[in-house]
Amino acid sequence: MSQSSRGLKDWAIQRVSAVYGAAYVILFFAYLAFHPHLHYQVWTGFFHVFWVQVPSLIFLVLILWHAWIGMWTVLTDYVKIPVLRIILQVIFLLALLAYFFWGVQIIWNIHLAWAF
Amino acid sequence: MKTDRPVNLNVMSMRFPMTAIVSILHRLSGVLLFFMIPCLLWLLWYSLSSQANFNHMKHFMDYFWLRFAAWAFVSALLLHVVAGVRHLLMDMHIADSLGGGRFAAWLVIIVSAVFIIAMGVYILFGFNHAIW
Repeated sequence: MSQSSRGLKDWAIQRVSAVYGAAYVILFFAYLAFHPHLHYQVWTGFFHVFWVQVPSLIFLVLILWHAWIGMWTVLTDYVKIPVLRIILQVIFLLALLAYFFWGVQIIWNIHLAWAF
Repeated sequence: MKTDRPVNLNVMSMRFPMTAIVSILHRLSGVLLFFMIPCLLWLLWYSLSSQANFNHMKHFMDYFWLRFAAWAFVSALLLHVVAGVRHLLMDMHIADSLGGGRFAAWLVIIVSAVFIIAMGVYILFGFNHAIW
């Protein structure tokens, strides 16, 4: 996609991810509200179901993309030193990428070790 | 350029319209939510990782500062979503006039405030294992 249409693309993605994200968050809190005294087996069983995993992975991708567009906008508006802005953009982008892979690991139940 | 012109940079003397306040709160809550992403991912990992960790997590709400953090997260999320709905409506040319925008901004603040106060009472003071 050309540079000239990037703003429109960002605008569209920001809105689609906002609607999807809001729907996911509402359904997620509804699940919690309807499952008081939640047990571990019920909770893990819930996240092992295909119909929870895939929408959750889509939520992860969309919300991280949403966050990136938002943070890009905030950095562009407030950080006026180009070098500093680019450094912060790279840091935030790498953080979001790390969150993506970490989130995939958690949702897909891939074993995760914190130490060597 | 006149150099002896009066300069006013006293922020306290500036009166921001409600539309500007909602706009900056939307941004602030968004930035706060961005920094909470790793905390939420960690919580999801911890809750799913083992029976012992899941049971331990139930005691997190015994700490007042963690209740406060949970309330701050819920508040930021609520405000961000409600203010976001206003944006989506304005995209559809609903409440995008000056008067309509001001009214919708007030509505965002009032609706968010009611939810945030209610959630504050619930999370900070009312929450216990008998309720949820």
